[in-house]
Amino acid sequence: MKKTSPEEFLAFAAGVLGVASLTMDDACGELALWDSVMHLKLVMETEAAYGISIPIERIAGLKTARDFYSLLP
Amino acid sequence: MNHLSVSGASIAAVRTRLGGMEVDNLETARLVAPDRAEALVKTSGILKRRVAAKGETSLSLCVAAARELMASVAVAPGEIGAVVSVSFTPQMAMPGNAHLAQAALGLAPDVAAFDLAHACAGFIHGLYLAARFAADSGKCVLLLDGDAQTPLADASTAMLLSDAGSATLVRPDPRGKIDFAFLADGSRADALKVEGGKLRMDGFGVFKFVADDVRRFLEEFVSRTGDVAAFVPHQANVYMVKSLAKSLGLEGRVVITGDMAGNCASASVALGLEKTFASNLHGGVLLAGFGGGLAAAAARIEL
Repeated sequence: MKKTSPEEFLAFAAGVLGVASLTMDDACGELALWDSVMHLKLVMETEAAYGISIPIERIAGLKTARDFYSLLP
Repeated sequence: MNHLSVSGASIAAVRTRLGGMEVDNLETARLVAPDRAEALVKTSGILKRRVAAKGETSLSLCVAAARELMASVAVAPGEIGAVVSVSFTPQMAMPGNAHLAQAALGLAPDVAAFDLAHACAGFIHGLYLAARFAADSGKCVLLLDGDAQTPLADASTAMLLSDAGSATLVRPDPRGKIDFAFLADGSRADALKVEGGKLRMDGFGVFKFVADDVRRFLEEFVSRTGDVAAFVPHQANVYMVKSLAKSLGLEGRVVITGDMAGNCASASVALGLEKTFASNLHGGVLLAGFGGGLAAAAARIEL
């Protein structure tokens, strides 16, 4: 299976977070809309959209969009 | 890890009483954050909450649960040697709920009344005290755990909190044994605290505590205490609880009540235990509380 491109994932994550655009270095807590609630929403939506399970011990360490992208198959 | 065992006591029965008003959590979300109400419900996993009806308090909810419990197991007031109350929202600061419950339930004046001001990990702290007393005295102990915490909610917690009371009968039992462990980190008290009359939460801070400290704490406790047939955790957030269970290898054995009852503070452990008793399960039950303190506690009982 072809890996999702960075651009595709950023568009997906921006949609989940409700922001116009996102870069790989954007991080939770730094964007006004990316608080703990939306962080958890991004985790859940990423799991559902990409068919992966993110262990709880990894969730606490996820900060940037790049961290999320690195989890994709 | 301070792994402790109390021999000579067991839990006979549990009853809970939820706040009298059922609240649709999506309605609350639309009031708190109309632009992302559905996200709030989805990430909490809490569909319904229970709020104390007019006149209901942490004490009245616990006493109602205790009356039902005492009737259901036919325990006489004279068989009760102590009342242990756990609440951070007692009816009054002094005297505590344990003394007021002793009078309300018509218990003999020679009972011991203990009050613990504890939050999410409180049920297990109270259970330790109750089990120790039952084993030492040869008398039953009434463990009351309840909070009417919804008046404390702010925007960060309004979607989570429920009100409930519980009563657990701990009896002397020569074959009984309960394992315990405790964890406290007051240096992170700011992550979850009542200040200025409001219960405030740093969502990231609490999640990190559960994902890292509590997960490791429970992993070690389970490795020391044996098989788990049912996992009864505090219902902080349904997604987080399920994720924690999965990480512990207990995904299919976790007891969920938070979806329909919300986060009832430490009484959520009593609520999950009541559900477990009702299922007629036999085997080891892992009880886990975690939250305000920050603190965590675990107990393993055998049903």
